[in-house]
Amino acid sequence: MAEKGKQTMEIAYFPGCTLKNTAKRLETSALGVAKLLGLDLRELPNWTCCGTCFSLAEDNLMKQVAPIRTLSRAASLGYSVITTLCSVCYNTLKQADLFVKSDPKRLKKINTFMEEEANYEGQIAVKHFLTLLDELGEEKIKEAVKHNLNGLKVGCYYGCLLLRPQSIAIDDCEQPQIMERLMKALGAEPVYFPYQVECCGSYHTAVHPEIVARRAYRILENARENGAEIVVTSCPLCYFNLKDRQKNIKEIYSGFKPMKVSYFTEIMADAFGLTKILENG
Amino acid sequence: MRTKRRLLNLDKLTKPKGKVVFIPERCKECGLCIEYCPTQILEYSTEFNEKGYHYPIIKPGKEDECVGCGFCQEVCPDFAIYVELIEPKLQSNDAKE
Amino acid sequence: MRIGVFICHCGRNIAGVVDIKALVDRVSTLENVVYATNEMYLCSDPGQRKIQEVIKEFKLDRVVVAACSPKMHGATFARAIEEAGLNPYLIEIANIREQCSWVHQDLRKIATEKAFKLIKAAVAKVALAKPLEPVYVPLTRKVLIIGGGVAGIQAALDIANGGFEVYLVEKSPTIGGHMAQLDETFPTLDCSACILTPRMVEAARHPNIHLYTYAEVKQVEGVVGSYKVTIEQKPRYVDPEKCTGCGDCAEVCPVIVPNEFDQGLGGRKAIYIPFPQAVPAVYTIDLEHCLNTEKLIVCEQCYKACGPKAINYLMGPKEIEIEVGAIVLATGYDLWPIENLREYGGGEYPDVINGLEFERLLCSSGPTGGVVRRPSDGKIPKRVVFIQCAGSRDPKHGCAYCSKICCMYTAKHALLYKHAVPDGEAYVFFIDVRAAGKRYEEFVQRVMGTDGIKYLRGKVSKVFQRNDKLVVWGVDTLSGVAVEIEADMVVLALPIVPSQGTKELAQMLKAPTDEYGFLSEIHPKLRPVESSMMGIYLAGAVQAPKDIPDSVSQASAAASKVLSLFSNKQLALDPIKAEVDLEKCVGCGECAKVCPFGAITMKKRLDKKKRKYAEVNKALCQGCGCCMAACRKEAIQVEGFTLPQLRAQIYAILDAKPTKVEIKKKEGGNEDKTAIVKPR
Repeated sequence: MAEKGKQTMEIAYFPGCTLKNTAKRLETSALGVAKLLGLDLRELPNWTCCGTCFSLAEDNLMKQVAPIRTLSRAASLGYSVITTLCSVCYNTLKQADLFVKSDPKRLKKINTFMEEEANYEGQIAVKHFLTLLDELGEEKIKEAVKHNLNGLKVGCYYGCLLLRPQSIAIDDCEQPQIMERLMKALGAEPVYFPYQVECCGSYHTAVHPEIVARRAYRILENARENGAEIVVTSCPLCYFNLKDRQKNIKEIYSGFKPMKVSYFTEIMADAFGLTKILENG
Repeated sequence: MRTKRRLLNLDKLTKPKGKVVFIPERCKECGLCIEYCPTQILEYSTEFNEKGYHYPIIKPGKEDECVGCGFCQEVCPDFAIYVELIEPKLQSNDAKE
Repeated sequence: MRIGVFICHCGRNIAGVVDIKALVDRVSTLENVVYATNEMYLCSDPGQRKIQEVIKEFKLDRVVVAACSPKMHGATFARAIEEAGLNPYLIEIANIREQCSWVHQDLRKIATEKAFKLIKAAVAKVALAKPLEPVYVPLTRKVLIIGGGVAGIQAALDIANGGFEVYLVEKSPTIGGHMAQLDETFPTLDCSACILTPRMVEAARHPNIHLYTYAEVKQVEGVVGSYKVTIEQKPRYVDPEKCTGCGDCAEVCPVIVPNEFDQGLGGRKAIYIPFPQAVPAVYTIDLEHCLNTEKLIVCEQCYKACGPKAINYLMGPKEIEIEVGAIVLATGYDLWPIENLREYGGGEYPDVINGLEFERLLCSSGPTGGVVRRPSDGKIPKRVVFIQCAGSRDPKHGCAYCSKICCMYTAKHALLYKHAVPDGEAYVFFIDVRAAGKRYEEFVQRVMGTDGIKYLRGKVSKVFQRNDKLVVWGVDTLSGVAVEIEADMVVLALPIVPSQGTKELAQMLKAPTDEYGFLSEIHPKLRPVESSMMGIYLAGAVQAPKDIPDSVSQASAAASKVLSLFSNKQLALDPIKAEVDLEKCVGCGECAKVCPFGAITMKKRLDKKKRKYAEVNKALCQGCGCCMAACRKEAIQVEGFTLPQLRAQIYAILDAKPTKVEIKKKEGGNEDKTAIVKPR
């Protein structure tokens, strides 16, 4: 199906579970920023969970049903690009998409199983919000900046899911630059720290917060050692683990000094002067 | 982040040392000596000579870096600059071609 | 025409599937067949003798053997019939094993029918076979050895001692290769330079060896027995006759650049000798870094300092043309670029180094005089991590193969590091330890048992810098613990790759390479030192990663092949080559265009019309048959596989003969000759 004929391309927006609950703030800032930059994000109606927890199923194929259903629905509404803010959702959707695109037999099996949906033919491009921003170009971002960040030293933290496996990575897995470019366009000074691509502990935060606390401690200390004043993340789960678990870190490492942690759309909203506007509704 | 590695035997390698001698009144500011110096130790002075040209001087701090190669001496069209080899001392040092 | 057919059982290999008795009966009824028999193992002595007896008794003039692939025993049977008085090319082998019984094991009836057809085809083909004589080509009994490392030197000495002239060409200013860079060799811990330099000197002084250093092979023409090679020797700007190697020139040279022999860890001057025991002991001016250029000579420090006045800025490159009969490739290896391993900080952190760099640090003639120092700040590292398989055995991210020598040299490095820094700690991360040579395992056990050396089985995931230490994240799978080590230096055992320039050289020689760039041997098990191009031999790491004893063995093996080639009175080549029928040839040139070996040239006839004709260089021709396929007039054919012979095979299999030739005219006027083949 062709894209709807409008000046700005409409992009399907898949929120996922986290962005509507604990990370609601991050969604607000992201949507505000997108609107300012001219990206028309439309939330997918009747969206379901991306299916990342279905990994427990033995049949590797059936685990793809939930993400493919999402893509199929987006396709039948006429979208050609779908974006998400959550790294886990991005990883799941993109891997599922590549998985079935590479094998027509698998695609056929899933389509047959999902008889109530339209057939998915692989028409959707799954892009993380960072990729969309990168494609806009730094000029557009610079134009929208009202409060330049004035060389604020930013440690860009990617976490693991955006850069692994290599087939879906949004940038180079050893030294990514996609968030650094964005930060530079906002006027900040990105700082390299080796822990920027290491896992934060992810879902262990639910049952074993101390594992996450130890990981977060090392990540934040490493960022601090290399001169970062604030750590900017691109995944809501990493955001939670690095920010809200700092009290757990303090319990284990009493000398720990707090480190500022932000989500990339939050810091963008600050730079664009949107924060107050968004907070007031 | 690319840190360069140092050559580990620099203390064993000897570089020759030269002394640049200027004759500023002959200079016509052609700039060839500055351009050709391989160690880039020459620059224009802020002073003028009688003809009104800026003559070359050694960059401050780089007095010890002349290697006595003689490029400045060879390219100068006015014989306004030449070099004397201080180290190592060779018999043929005095003969200047 | 009296054809004899011999069918082999090959034990149960053929007889277990094909009905031999029925075959013999049917074959006896074929046209021109006067004798048909079967035998348990035709290739055995009694089997061959049977063939010879039958030839004599039944006065056979053609032979068909139905057995295994001609690649196996083709030569055996040819020699057998030659001994019985027949020309060795009057035999045809029907492969009823690899092409029949082995691939149709469950279909016996069909297999028997197919075997019959194959034999019928062979009978039809051999009926048209002509006796052929070997093609004699000139043989120059001189050899060119490209590459002056330990393999090249060994091969040169062996051939020179055998009494033949050797041209040894080496790209760098000195021979010795990588072995000269090593400190001590495993497992004996012999000083590498001490055992190599006597060989180097012998090679330089040998009356039969012409040594060309700082030279490269620019062009190779011709074929085995008569190669015409052009060698280009770069100018050193130093007269080798006058230079005494005193080193006064290097003292006064103002330019300091990284020394390639020290892997860039130490410096040298623009006029230099790679290492003190270099052969030839002549200084070389590296024009790229010398302050002078080819046209502009200003800095004359070295000239003034030189006592014997050996420096000559006006030297030019020299071109040397030689004629040789064989070429030995011994161009050796290089290490894979360290920058490819970004997860280990390769190319980023100066203290992450490769094995050769560590050798130079250990070597007393190296840039630090044998004191192990960090390239970043010159301090002595107290904790060194060695990572084996850094890039090897990794099909996705590196080289799929095993580089063979790394386990041994890493063990050696750990031990020598402990000798150099007795209070140091060495950690070795390994996946396996491959110590397959003589006394290698004992050596590794000795290293593993040394205090201060810890072997950890596991891979390293990341190396990064924290302050001035390198943090290494690995795992010890035997205890199941993730390991973080703060090291002062990390040494990576990188894969061995063919040295730079090997690809171009192989293309020049038309010698095939494998997917990794190593030169391909003609048979991996039985003929490891010969390339598929006749006359080109392989020695050392150019064929596959290997250590010094194997390189030396292979070099001697290549030398022995060359010596046996030269021991022939004449060089006889297989006559399965293209032959031109001058009456039919119209000189269109299509054959010359498609010949992959450049063996066909178009010549002008001496008649009034001055038409062209094709001429085949028998030495270059490999008998592939492309020309035969391209020729529209059937004027060029490969002896032993002529078009009438091939057609006879096809008609025999199809059980048919062409009965009508219809000429259809297509639109556009091109005639479309279709032969309609009807069954008999």
